[in-house]
Amino acid sequence: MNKRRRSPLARFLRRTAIFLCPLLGLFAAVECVFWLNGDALPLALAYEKQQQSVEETIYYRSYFSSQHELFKLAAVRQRGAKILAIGSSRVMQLRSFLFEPFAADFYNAGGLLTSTENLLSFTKMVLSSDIPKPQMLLICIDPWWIKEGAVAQETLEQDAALVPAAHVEAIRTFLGKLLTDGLRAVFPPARTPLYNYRAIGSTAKLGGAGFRKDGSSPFAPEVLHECMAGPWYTDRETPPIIERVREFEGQFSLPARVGRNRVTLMTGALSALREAGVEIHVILPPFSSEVYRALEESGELRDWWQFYKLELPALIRARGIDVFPVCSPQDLGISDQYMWDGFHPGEVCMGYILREMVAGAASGTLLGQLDLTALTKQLEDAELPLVFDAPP
Amino acid sequence: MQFNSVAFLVFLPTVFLVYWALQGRPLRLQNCFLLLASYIFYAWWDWRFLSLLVFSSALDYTVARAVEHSEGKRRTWLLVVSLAGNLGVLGLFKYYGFFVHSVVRAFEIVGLHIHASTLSLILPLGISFYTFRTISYAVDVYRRKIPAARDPIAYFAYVSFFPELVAGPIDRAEHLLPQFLHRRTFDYASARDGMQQILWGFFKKCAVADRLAPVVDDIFRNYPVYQGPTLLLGILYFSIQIYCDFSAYSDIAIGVGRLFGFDLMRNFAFPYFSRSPREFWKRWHISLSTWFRDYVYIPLGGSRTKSRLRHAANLLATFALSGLWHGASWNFIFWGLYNGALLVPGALLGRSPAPAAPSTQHRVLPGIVALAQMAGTFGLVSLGWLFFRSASLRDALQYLARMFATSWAVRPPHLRWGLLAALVLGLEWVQRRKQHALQIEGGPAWVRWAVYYAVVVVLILFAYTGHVPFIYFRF
Repeated sequence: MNKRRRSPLARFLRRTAIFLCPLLGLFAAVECVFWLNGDALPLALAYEKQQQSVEETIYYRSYFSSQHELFKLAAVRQRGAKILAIGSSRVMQLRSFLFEPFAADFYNAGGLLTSTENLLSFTKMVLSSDIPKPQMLLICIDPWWIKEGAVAQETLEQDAALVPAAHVEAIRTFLGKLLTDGLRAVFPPARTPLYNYRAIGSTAKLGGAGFRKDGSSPFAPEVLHECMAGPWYTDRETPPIIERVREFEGQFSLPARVGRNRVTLMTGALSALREAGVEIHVILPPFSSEVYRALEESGELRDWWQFYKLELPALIRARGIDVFPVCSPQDLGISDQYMWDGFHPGEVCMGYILREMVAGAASGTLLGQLDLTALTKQLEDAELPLVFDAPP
Repeated sequence: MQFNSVAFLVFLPTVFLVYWALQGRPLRLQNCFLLLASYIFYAWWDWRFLSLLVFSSALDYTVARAVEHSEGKRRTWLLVVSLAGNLGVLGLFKYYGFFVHSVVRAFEIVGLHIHASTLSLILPLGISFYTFRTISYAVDVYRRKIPAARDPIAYFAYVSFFPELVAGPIDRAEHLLPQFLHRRTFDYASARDGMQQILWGFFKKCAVADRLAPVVDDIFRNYPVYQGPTLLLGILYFSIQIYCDFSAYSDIAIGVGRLFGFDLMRNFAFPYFSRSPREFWKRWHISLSTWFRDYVYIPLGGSRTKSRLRHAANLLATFALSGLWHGASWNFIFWGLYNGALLVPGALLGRSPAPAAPSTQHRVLPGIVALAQMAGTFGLVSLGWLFFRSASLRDALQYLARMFATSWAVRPPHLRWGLLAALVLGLEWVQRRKQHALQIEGGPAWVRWAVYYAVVVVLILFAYTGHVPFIYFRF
């Protein structure tokens, strides 16, 4: 009697389970692919896995938002590096071997900060011991950090790998990719093209892009191919930076006014970090010569650009902080071939900047203790203008 | 807890399994568990406001018991206590700021500047819904339509029943409370139908309403920069969005109710196939429309008045209050008055528009006249939604002015999402004689399953993965 009464429920549960099985099976299979390829790894775990690898390993996920700022934050938190390079993607080319004898203590957190507001958040985290306090900070500041009205990007959202809705989105994207790429989407190569690095995440496996163990970012294979064929300069960004400047687009949109409040907040944050005992060196990274000329000649951008170029370094220096402004590669005695595009310096260019900074560093500073001879040797041995080591 | 959350995906099967595992135990234990589950469901949002829900339930349970045993003025006074308690809580949390602000503005118009402090209170989730449920219970006991509940657990479980707790349907005690007093048995067909309705609800919410939400938000937020066709599209999309959002909630609530052996009242009956505004209001948010009919419109005299003007006034008053129920702002009141005004011609002429012809119900496609009537009704109702959606009455009027004043020689963006809306309306048209679009009976099982899988696939492909709360949560 009792059994008969329960039977409709059992039948319902059974049929519901049968109905859901194919869907859950599909979801589980795709999730397996994500996990095996490293795409669904939470960022902190991905960093841990990357660091555990003996070989050089590139990390960059696909299907889920890359959230490289969160990845870099996880890395900064877990690594506790003595020397940190922070800023936007324009600092991502600094390599650890340039920092001998402290190469193992260096981490490139390029991409972590893209605005003054991000710098303030970072400063608060350092001062509140939310992240380990570095001994030395190389901070790259971009002109748009001091632009009035520039929209600051959110940096501290939740890791997409931990958001269920992001998994639905990822599964959907994967199914689309499966239709176009077939089994290559399911079984991407374990190593990156060209450099043959180990890879975590589909973008790293298929495109060779991502972050090395020291946080620096290798150039895409097609860029290196082009560079090996002939080391001429091309503005490879889309749309090219020179066009953005001429058309007042993106970071160069009008009105281009200096946000005084942002300048005050920025210099205040730098001072706070310095007072907390962090050795700070600010870099104003270079633009390609044509972009630099365009900025110099643009009437609409003039005030903002000139303030960034001349007054900002003076304001920072007035607070006792070292600044190294570079307008274009020509300041370093090199050509635009050392630029990836109109505003991203290549690895070697960043090496030249570092060498100049080390050469001029005050005695007793950590920067001054870097091995200048080894650094110069690295620059002399660079195989291509863009990168130190050409692919095998 | 929201239906479209991961927490609910865990909550529902867990509660379902425990609930039916208690089937052989005393009914009181099953109701007790349901009450606990409902309180957890509510407390997931903010446990502090659970006290209001308990207060509202306790007030009307106590008052109704006393009313039942009272006569004369004492009986009336007890009802007044119940109404004052419920409306007092509702007024404080929902309308206090609005009324204070309106009084201050009114004084400013005549040149008097007064200072009044307002409270920034959070609107407790579902307060408009459960308050109306308890009010109707107290009034029905007062009217001797139903006896007062003796079992407090059953009554409390009825008021807080989680599927319809925060956004309806506003099921009356007369219909739902007895279901808490009788043993429920698991019915396979009913549970299956519940699952179908839940699936349809999720489809409408995630694949259509949420998909349209960012487009609508963008158009209404930036209406000063858009041209006529885009602004028209914004109104039409919002009409579809609010229908798919709100009816989805009701579908999921009714479906979940079926899983637990309850028969909740129907809240939407394919309203956009209505051929007149009057028919529309018989098909849209039925539980609220009938609530206002029974507790406001009829007590005011309804249509049985000597004067047609009085009839029209009753309609306008009822709809204005209905608008105010939706939100404490003038644009909601205007929206209510606008919809009331659509019914006024019928009231003044003393005749009702013709009801839907049976021929329409049985034809595959509607005839030209029926189609024109449906389109006309949809247009009139959609115009009303403009006032409902706009941030203020002024914004709505400016939106409307801009829509007609700007160029119509541009192609609006986001047209492709209209296909999803067409899919929903098309399926519902085919299934318009059923309770919901996925109610498929008979035929081979593989055909039914193919349809369900197709809906799931489209849902996965088009579901908007950003979080969009149900629109009626804010009421």
